[in-house]
Amino acid sequence: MISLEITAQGGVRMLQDDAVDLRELGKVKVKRASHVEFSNKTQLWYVQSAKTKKMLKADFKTRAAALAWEKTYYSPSGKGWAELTGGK
Amino acid sequence: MSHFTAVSTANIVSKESFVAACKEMGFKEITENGDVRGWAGQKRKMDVAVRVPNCKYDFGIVKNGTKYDLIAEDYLNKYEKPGILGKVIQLTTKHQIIRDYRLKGFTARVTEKADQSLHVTLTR
Repeated sequence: MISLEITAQGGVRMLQDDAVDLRELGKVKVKRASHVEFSNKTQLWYVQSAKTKKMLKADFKTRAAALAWEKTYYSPSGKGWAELTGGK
Repeated sequence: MSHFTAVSTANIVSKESFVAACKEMGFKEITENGDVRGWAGQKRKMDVAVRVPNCKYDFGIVKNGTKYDLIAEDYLNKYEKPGILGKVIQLTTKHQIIRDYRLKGFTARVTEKADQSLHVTLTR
């Protein structure tokens, strides 16, 4: 599933997914949203905000699980969307 | 480890999507190769002209390379129908995305949020 937002002013924004190429709609700007890394100490994967450096969740057994959680967190209806868009 | 991707204002690349958006907004007089009313009684030919009822001015699109330019008097967007052009672009983009990704096998679901943005979900 891919989620994107079309703003009231006609802008489009989303968490990058190669299945959707926003360059078809205009010039894109891309910035890093998060880091998904492995902790050698805990032996678990974690998701960290690229903007705030806050550790968002750190108990994933697999990288795939971390990526899936991150995708939901940073979707237009997710808790992390405001952080990416500067919204409330 | 993901990236946030954004286009500040989407281009209009599909005439059909623009027409679909204008119909969705309730416009009835949508004319190919028609004229729009501009400042001081001027008229200008458009690839697609949209008559705005009860207003002095209209809007339309003109082909420019691989995309269309959205043409309108500032007065229309600022005073007569504030925000109308943003709405046109928003809905045109919605129709473009739905059409393009339906061809790729996706189903689209659209919901409107409280801030008037559209949340589009594509599934396959």
